[in-house]
Amino acid sequence: MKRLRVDRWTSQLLVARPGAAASTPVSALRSAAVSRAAAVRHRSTAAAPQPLQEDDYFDGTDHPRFPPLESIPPRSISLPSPLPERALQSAKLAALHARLSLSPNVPLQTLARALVDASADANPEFNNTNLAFVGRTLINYHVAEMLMVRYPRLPMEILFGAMKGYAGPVSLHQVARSWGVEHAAAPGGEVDPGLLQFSLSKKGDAITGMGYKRAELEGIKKFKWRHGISSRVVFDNEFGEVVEDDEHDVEQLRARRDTEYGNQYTRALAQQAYSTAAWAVVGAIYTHCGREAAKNFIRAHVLSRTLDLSKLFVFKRPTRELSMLCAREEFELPVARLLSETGRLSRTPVFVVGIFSGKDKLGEAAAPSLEQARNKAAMNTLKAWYLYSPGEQARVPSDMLVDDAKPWEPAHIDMGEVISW
Amino acid sequence: MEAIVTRPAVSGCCRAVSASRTASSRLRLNTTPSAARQQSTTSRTKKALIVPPHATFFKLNGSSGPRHTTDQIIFNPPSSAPSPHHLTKADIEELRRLRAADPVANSVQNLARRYRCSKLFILMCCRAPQDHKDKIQAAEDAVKSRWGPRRRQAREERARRMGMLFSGEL
Repeated sequence: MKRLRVDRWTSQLLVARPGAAASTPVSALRSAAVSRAAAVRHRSTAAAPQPLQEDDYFDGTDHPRFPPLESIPPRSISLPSPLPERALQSAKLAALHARLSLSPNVPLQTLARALVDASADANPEFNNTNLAFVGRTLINYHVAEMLMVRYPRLPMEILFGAMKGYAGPVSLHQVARSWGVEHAAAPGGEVDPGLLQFSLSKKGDAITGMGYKRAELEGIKKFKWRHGISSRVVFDNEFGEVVEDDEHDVEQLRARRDTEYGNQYTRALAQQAYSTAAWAVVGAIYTHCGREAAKNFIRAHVLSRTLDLSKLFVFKRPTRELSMLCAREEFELPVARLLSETGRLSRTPVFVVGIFSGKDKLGEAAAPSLEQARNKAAMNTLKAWYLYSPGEQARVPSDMLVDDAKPWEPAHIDMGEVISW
Repeated sequence: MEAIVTRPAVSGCCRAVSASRTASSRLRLNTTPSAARQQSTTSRTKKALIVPPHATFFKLNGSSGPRHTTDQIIFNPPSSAPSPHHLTKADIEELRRLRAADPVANSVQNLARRYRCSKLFILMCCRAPQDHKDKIQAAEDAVKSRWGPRRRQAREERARRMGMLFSGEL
């Protein structure tokens, strides 16, 4: 990594800036260290124990036997999420801030807020809903832009799948886990602000997604009504999935959540909370550092992931699709020719079939039967067409937003779908 | 599709290969290393590896400079339009009538030959009567009922293999 900043390794602990504001992480670290040391010394002497206010501090544990690691402000037990000022004392939060190489402009309080899910704290001024919405739109924009410029001929269905592969909740859940974000067993005002907080008993009612709930949703689910790609673009969410309230059939799972180690329902909640936190971190970066910093962060953590697009394709009639493509592009009619074969009468024959359009060979494949070889060759030909790419270094429209951008060169724009089901 | 070679080593080779076809060129592809004139100096090597930009980087009318640097979309595809077909609406009505009247004589293949269109088109525009469909289905079921377990399993597996092939698993 090229982001090691040697000058910041020790200077933050040695140099004391006189006018440093308490909200910057550098001074936050310092004040956190001081206050934690003070708290420990106070507790270790135990000469004059403070009279604890039972209603404020009682959290169900035996405090003389299991003393809390840090002093918790009064009445924080009754709060749904930690107080913002406690963010300055959390070692986990400071470590996450450093591990993500975030700018000093991103305060620890905002990072702490990005880890509070709407199911833990319903107040939108203290949970990560708004940050997550900003981050989600940004990630979706950059992923869509990259895919459309780099793979201009992808069919819409594959584009939806690729969007989900890069920016979907499953992927961002993995991204947030890879950042080392850990979650609290249960949300509350007393937990460490560096832990992801979400409820395992309910879903937050925050709207962070796109799409509309279809009027014909019941028919689609019950009778498998057709919903074509055009309507999916308009109505469904950014990954082409039908928007539905998935709070049905979970009563039993919800009832069992405390007796099992974890079930389908709790895993879904955790996945949603982690992905929302990842969106919220991007939203926080955009809020405090601006467009370019957010773009660089997305490029480093989302767009840099590898996704093999050729594995996403599922064909129905590849030969027919190929002939329609050739007709549309005014190529000659595709013809399959047997290039070579071996062991036709044996148990394991191999046929090599090429697809030709006039004198041009469009694709080739080997398979154990003539029918399979022809279809596979047609699939390879279609993939070669669909996965055309102007290159890794193709510029995207958001590259033009910087001040000293070179003049825009038009990107390749494809005609559209060859075949739509 | 014409490949644009960007790696210097490869481009040198390509140039040597293409140049070896024209005898007038200075640089040749030498197969015997002992007889080869070495690229002994840096300047000679660099000179040999200079490859002009690809033709697509220049304007089509021959003037130098980058091809297009404006804010316009150069390729504006035509809006999709239905392909003209030689069958009129009356023809299609007639086709439907024939198919409904005698689905055996006017089979899909016969109609496709008669109207010079594809079988798919016939299937798209007309539908056989239900009793004809039932008859076909019954005949098919009778054939299938005579299959033994081996043949049935082999056919099922063949269909499943084709499905796996289409989803890229084979």
